[in-house]
Amino acid sequence: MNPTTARRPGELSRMLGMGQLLAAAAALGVACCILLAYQFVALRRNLTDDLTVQAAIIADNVAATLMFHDQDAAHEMLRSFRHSSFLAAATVYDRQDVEFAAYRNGAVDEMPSLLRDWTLFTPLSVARPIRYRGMALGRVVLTADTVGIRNGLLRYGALLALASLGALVTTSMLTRRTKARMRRAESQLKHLAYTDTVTDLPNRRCTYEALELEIAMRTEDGGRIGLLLIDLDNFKVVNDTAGHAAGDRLLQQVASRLRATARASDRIGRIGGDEFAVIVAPLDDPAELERVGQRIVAALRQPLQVEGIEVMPTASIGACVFPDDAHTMSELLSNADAALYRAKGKGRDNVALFERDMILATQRRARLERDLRRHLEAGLLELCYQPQYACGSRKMVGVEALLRWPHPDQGYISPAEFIPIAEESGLIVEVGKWVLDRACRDAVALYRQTGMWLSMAVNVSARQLRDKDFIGVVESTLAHTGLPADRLELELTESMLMEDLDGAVEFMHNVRALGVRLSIDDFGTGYSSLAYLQTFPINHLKIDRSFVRLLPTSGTTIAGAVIALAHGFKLTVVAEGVEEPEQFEWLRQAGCDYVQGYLLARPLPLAALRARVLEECVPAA
Amino acid sequence: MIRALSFLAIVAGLGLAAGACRAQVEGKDLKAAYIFNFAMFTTWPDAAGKGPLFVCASPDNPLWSALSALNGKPINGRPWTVTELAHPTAAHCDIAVLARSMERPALLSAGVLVVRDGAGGKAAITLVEDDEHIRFDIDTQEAAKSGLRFSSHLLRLARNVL
Repeated sequence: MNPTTARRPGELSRMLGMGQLLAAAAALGVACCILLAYQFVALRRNLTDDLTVQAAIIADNVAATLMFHDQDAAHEMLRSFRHSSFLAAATVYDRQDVEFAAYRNGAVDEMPSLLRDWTLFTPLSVARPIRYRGMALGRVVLTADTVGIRNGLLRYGALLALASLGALVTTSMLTRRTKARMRRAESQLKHLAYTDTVTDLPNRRCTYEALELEIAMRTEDGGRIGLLLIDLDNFKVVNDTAGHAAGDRLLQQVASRLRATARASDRIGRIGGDEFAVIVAPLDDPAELERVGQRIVAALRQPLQVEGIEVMPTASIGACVFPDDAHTMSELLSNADAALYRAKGKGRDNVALFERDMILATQRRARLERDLRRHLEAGLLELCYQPQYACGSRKMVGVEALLRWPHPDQGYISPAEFIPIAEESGLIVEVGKWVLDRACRDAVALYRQTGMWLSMAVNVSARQLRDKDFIGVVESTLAHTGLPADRLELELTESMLMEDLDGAVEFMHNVRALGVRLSIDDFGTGYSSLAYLQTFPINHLKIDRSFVRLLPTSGTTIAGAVIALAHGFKLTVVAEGVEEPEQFEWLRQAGCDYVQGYLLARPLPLAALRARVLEECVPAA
Repeated sequence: MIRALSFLAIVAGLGLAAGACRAQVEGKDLKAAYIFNFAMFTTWPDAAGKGPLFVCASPDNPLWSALSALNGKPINGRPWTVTELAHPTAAHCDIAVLARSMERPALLSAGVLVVRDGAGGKAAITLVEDDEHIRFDIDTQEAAKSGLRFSSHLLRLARNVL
């Protein structure tokens, strides 16, 4: 790794240990200085005390010699102090301050010049007056050599140094074990910081750092880097239906397949919940990147067993090449992301290479999302209504609410374009709430104006279904708009039910308990499971327009089977996209209950719908 | 106050004299000072005596005037008082200063420190001139007879101790 960004393992603990040792040494040094200073003061004080005592003895003993001017006796007396280890000189002065007797101790060592010059070790002097019975006779001056202090101090200092050294050695030995433990913890932390614990792959941070490094290197030598962003298509379904443990097992198996598929020099990392990244470097030929991507898609497509369930872990992959498609790391990542978005849009389970127009598409998506939010708040969205007719009576019995977005600059935006954007951004929840509210109000208004109740079908998105509050929204909307619950019909799609089966079934039961009816939209296009159909508390099945379009020349088998199936489950059938009279005729004869389509009526705004209802009512009345 | 000042003056003079005349034959003041100092190192049998310290000498003794100069100076609280040996004003003498050849008067009983100026006869302390220095000999037997005790400081400085 780059030495500037990654610190060598254990460096912190080593620095800490060194710092601790230095701190301890400094503390001991300060303590030693204080002790030495105290010792110096104490030694000097002791010497002064001893000197004072000796001066007092001399003063006592020399008094008589002064009185009788006996210098010989005085000298003799002073000489008796020659055994004193520290007394350097003793001088007796008489009353006139004339030297009477003196003694110099030649046995005391001469102080080394270096220390003598140091004021701390200047010789110590004590003077004491000589008296006899109150009579002042003179004074005695004693001078002590400080070599004793020096030696004592040196001995004491050496002892302190030895003790400190011993303490430091003991401390460092004791802390060595702590440091070793810390080093282990440090490397473990580092491992955790850079590794994804589920798959043991490098994590997002590590992957991005590696990518940054690769980019820095390739910028210098002019090579290429390929980046593949891999998003598992059905991870969420596995996680929700089989549990997190199964999700983790899936991720581990995907990781091992990625390892097996990618080239040895490529770096694989897990950068999100179900997102992986492969850094393909060095990359000599940009086409090689797509080949690697295709190999990965093919490898993942093989079914695998997770907790007893067979899963096909398909993935969508976005590919981008540095420096061909992007010049910076953030550009590379966002362009690969745009390609990934395209791959998902193309129906997943494939690889999309980045192209310039993807940026435009991304920008358009961002602009549409922003505008949708603003226009929803400004009340610019519209609803129009696709009438539904009973096959037998050819009477209008209900409408399906369809959302229209008249963009002030770009005209009508197709729901196929803006609904996915709203779903991705979560805006769909607000949009859905508005649609439900508007549709219910319009149905009530229509009744007030025409005296006729129409069934109001409203589409529900997968995102709304996941929202725990949605059932409450339905309830309160019915309450404050005054629409009878049995006039409202919610349309669900099969695929959204399969995403979270338990949640969906619970929601359906709750909605049915309110009295609201349910229908399954686009029946037969997704993963149809007849077994589930039995457990869903629904009222209607809608035959998808793709089947109706083929009628009556072909497709009659499927349409007929769906109608029979629905009736078998006691469900009514609605056929969508009826455009030809022949289609209508076939459906009517096949027993289809309701139809909707351009043959009978185009989607109408509320005013036109009202006019149409009134117009149809008149002949009847 | 005046007494204290005069005492200081005397002591100062004494010291000065002692310093200046150490090597001179004329040592009367020095000898008087020595006798004064002997008293300082001597313990009399009646230690509790509080009255004046009587110093008995003959007026024809060469030291008379020097001794008299010390009159009034206290020794252990007892003022130094010089009186005639033959006609003492006091009941007894504490110190008797005798000339070299003078006989020891019979009246000198116990409790008297006999100082003789020059070796001539028995005395507790004998002042001698030795190589131009004034020294002294101590006869502890004589002193013991009189019931006197000398400080070891004094004994140590004596030329001879008998």
